[in-house]
Amino acid sequence: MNTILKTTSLVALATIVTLSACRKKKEEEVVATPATAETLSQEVIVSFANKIALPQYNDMSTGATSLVNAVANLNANTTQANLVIAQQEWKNLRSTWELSEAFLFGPVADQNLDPNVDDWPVNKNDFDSVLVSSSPLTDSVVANYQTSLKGFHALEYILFDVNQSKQASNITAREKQYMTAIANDLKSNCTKMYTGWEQNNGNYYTTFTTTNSVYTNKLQTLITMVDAMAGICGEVGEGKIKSVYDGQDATQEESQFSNNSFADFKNNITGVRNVYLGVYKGTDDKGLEDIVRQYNLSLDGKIKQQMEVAINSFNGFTKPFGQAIFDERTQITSTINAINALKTTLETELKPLLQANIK
Amino acid sequence: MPDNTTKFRVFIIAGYCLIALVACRKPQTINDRMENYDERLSGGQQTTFNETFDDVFPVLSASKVATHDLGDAVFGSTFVTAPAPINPGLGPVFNNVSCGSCHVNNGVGKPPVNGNDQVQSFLFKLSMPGYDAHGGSVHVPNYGVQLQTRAVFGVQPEGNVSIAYSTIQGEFSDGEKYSLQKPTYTITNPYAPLPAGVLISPRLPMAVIGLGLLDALTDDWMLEHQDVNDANNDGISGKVNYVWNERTQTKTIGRFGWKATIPTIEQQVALAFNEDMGITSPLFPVESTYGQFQYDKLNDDSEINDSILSTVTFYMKSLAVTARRNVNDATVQQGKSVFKQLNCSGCHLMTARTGVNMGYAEVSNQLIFPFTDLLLHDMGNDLSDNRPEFDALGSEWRTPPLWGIGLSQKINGNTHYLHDGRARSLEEAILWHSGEAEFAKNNFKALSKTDRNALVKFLQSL
Repeated sequence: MNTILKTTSLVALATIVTLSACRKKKEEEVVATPATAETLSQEVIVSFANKIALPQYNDMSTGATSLVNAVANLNANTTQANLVIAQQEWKNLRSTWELSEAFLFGPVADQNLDPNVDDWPVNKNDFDSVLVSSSPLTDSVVANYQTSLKGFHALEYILFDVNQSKQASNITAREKQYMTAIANDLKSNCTKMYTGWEQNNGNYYTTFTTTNSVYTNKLQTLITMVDAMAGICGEVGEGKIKSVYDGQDATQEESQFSNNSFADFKNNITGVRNVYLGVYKGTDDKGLEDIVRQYNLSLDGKIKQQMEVAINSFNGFTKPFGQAIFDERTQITSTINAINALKTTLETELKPLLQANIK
Repeated sequence: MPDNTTKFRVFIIAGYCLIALVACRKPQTINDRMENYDERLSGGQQTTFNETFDDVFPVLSASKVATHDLGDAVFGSTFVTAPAPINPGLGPVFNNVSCGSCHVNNGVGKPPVNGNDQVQSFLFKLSMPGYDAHGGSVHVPNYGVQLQTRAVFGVQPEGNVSIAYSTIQGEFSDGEKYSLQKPTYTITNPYAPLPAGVLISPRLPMAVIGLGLLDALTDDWMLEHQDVNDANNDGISGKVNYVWNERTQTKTIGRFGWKATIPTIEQQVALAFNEDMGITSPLFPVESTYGQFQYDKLNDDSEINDSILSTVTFYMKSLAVTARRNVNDATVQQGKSVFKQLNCSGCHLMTARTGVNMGYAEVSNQLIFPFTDLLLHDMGNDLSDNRPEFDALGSEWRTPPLWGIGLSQKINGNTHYLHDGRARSLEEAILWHSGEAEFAKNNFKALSKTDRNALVKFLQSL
């Protein structure tokens, strides 16, 4: 039995490696000359900006608009079906956001948008006080609330409630006003993520794709990308999963009202893979892999395999994260280890490869 | 086998040679020796080559790294209104909800750009004229020593501040013009009457890298550079601020904060929890609102325990300093010469060696390049906040360390310098220097544009 299992695992592993290797035409392992390294780096950077950052933040903006509309629809016609639609729009936007957390630099960080959309935990005492008060819930008032009273998780609390117990019939007039204002604030901040990159607005695009006092050379730009990828691996593996698991404390689960945590985590790591491969929603352009493959095919294979293992590790869970920390502890450990292994490779192999070859 | 006499002779000769060698050695200052040192290593062995303020000391035991990581998690945690299962204790009034929301990416804060913007990563200290029993700031009735501009839901914040900028025009010797923006502040919507004569001082949150190394500089090192009466006639005095130490309950040397009013990192952390976030700790167990109507009357103090305070303190003590960049660039080297020639290095001391600390070997005996003397200097009337704190007069400010200053744009996406962030560029920051730095500033204005740009490029390499 054991032998069969082992063989099966090996075959599966080999398949993954082969599949990964087959994604692109097989190239001969050649060492890039400095000139091609420079050109290739620039292509990867521009591809990231054009094919990942800009379209993804545009999706944040349009996704937030869909959420605003779904909330408006729910408020106008408060049925269980419309509640489910609004919940789904929340999850859709959440998915795009978690993918984008693989590159938390630029306007999203510089303009402090991250805590404004994704602070945690919800300040429940204040949240409840807001609802029972008669304080106005206009857009401008809510936009100036503490970050723990708005953004994804405050809206999640209203739309799902504890243990997803929300019923359309229980939604109050105050909750409707509050939801509207939070959704509008989310839309405003998500739009800023996009306009911050746009060339005819904040123009972080040009900052990122040229050499200047912020990015003094191509290496620094690529390192920024890798640091962000390793950073989110650390936040998920060592923080969001491990601290809850170690403490056996489900109250520390981030997306606890929607039971969306596993989807969040998986999207974070998928976001890392997207940046590495240069893919987003069906487009496939130059990615970090194209640089790595010039110098070290086996490292490229290793990174791809570790990404697949980490992403697929989420498929084995049968319970939501808040219960899995008690009931599926072995799988949780495997997931933590898989994410940490990927992080280690990014930091100790991918970064040095770039540092050795890119100027 | 040599007999004893021979042994003795050899010993004498060896001893003589040693004395002769020592006597013949040219006396070297630490600055001479810096020329032979890898000057990229701003933080000695605790330098990171990543362009981030988030890196842990590269040389640190695994157990200390684990403590650092625990502190890191708390530093980034959002606190909420008590009682709550996670991170309770915020407020009732506060300036921000987490350490990291003012020190974004462990870097500097940001002054409000438009007059009536809500103050976020920026704060205002308050006091009445005079000194309290320890020589510190006098509390303002109903306000304390800091204006908390935000509050938990249902509680009234202490007030807000509107900022107005006036323009000061100036001209370099070569005829090129420049303009500076000078801020004035007005407290708006005060929740209680503000007494006449209240003093207000704005503070930009500082980058928090390398604090463990600054902490490891000895008191003697600071006293050595003190020159209160300018005995050496170089126009620069420099003095130590003796401040109240909450832990020892005595006055000790201050070295942190814009006016060096804080003696230890632990006290800075505990004070920030208390005043900035409204969170009580074993070191400051009384709510900042005690005696005010906003006081929460919850019997829950301290809201964080000793281990939380210690882990955050250790996190602050173990953040690596970023390496210098482009040190061999010709313009950068030219700028470095200008920096020395103008005697900027008279206060922004380029080199220092940390003391030996048996309890924290990782910061011991390190040659570092902090670009500070940690002393107070008169910076002139334009920068004065007219608000004394212990031995610091209104116009006196601590020389801030300059390491990492060239990464502001990258780390925080904006550039604001000086205690209130009024300088929008490094050049403006230099132009605001006055008082003891008047001479250096005027010499800067007299430089050619090439030399001015070189100096700025040197600062950007830090």
